[in-house]
Amino acid sequence: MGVRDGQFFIIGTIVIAGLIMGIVSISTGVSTSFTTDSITKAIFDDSVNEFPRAVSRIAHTADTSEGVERDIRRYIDFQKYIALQHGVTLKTNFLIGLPIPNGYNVTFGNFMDGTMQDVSITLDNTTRDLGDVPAGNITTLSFAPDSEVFQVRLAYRNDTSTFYTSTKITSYISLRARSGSTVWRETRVN
Amino acid sequence: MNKGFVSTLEAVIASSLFLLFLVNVLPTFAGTGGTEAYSSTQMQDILQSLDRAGELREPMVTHNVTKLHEMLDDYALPLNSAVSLLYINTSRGTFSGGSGSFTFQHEEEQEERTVLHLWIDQIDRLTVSVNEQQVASISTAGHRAINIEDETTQGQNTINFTAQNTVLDYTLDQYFTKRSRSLPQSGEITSVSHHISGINTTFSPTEIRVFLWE
Repeated sequence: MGVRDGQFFIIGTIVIAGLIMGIVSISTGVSTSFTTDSITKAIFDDSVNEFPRAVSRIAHTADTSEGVERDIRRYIDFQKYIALQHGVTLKTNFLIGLPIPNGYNVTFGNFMDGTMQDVSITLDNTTRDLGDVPAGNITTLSFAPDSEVFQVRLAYRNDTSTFYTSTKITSYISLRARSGSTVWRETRVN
Repeated sequence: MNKGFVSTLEAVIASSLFLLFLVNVLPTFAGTGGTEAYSSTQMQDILQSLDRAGELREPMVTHNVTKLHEMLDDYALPLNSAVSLLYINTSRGTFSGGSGSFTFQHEEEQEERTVLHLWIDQIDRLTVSVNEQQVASISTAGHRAINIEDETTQGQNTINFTAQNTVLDYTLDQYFTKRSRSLPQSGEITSVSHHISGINTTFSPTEIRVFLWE
């Protein structure tokens, strides 16, 4: 028996309604998971964007590199705590450059999963080996750059990050934020 | 009845069914989880926009949750909203051997985390107690962070250091929360977060959380 025009419309309506419900169902699912991703992304963005501002504020109030080390450690502790409250794990390593009379202090911190191996910091042509840096460790080294603008190179195992800076407050951060299968990574120099 | 009339009637029934589906079924189906998901994403953008515009930091570092709630409540509509702040109150001091103590106030309902940071320059052997409960025995120099919220009680608390030949600085970070209104006891609540390190030259790490619910 052939399908009459009217029956075709009824069957067509049911098929179209099913298709629309299917599409809406998929898009609703995406929207919900996007919320989780968006919180991870927001915490990640805040952490990356705010780090240089934190360094600047801490450097303004702390008298010494030791004071900077202490407050930056407390700040990272704060960041990691609030990230965890939203189910996000933060891992970071950072480098802070601070001008001092007749020199330049470089503070390096490892807050990754574990020990960072064979870490070295080169400022112009002067290289200092830190060896293996355990997680949670912060170290400050003093350099005496020859010029106002100089190259900084952070190396560990097979990774190298190089950037130019001058005798001003400088921050480098390598950050990883993870929530479930969502991972955000970025390295930024300010 | 002729064939054409039956076909037309069936076409009208099909169109009515489709309209009925569009008007009644689809909005209900599409609305499941959609409003909160959209609003929380939108609220996240609003927080970042307000921060970029310079309107968020001052009420955040002054812990003015009422002002923040007033700023954000309209953006949350048609959902309900509440604002909470997480900020740190810091106490610092130095200890140089023998026996020493300091006291601090703990507010059970407002304090969600209490961390004692020790920056140890020299050490022989150090014992740290909170309200006479030992929380650490340390014999190496460097930094130690000790979570002591389990040992703290409502009101005044005392931290004791006992050691010989030990020099250390300590920092007590008390994480306080302040909320604009209470949250509902049941139902789904989504939250949005934004954090700052301070304002101008002041270092004052603070997080704002916005809670949304139907």
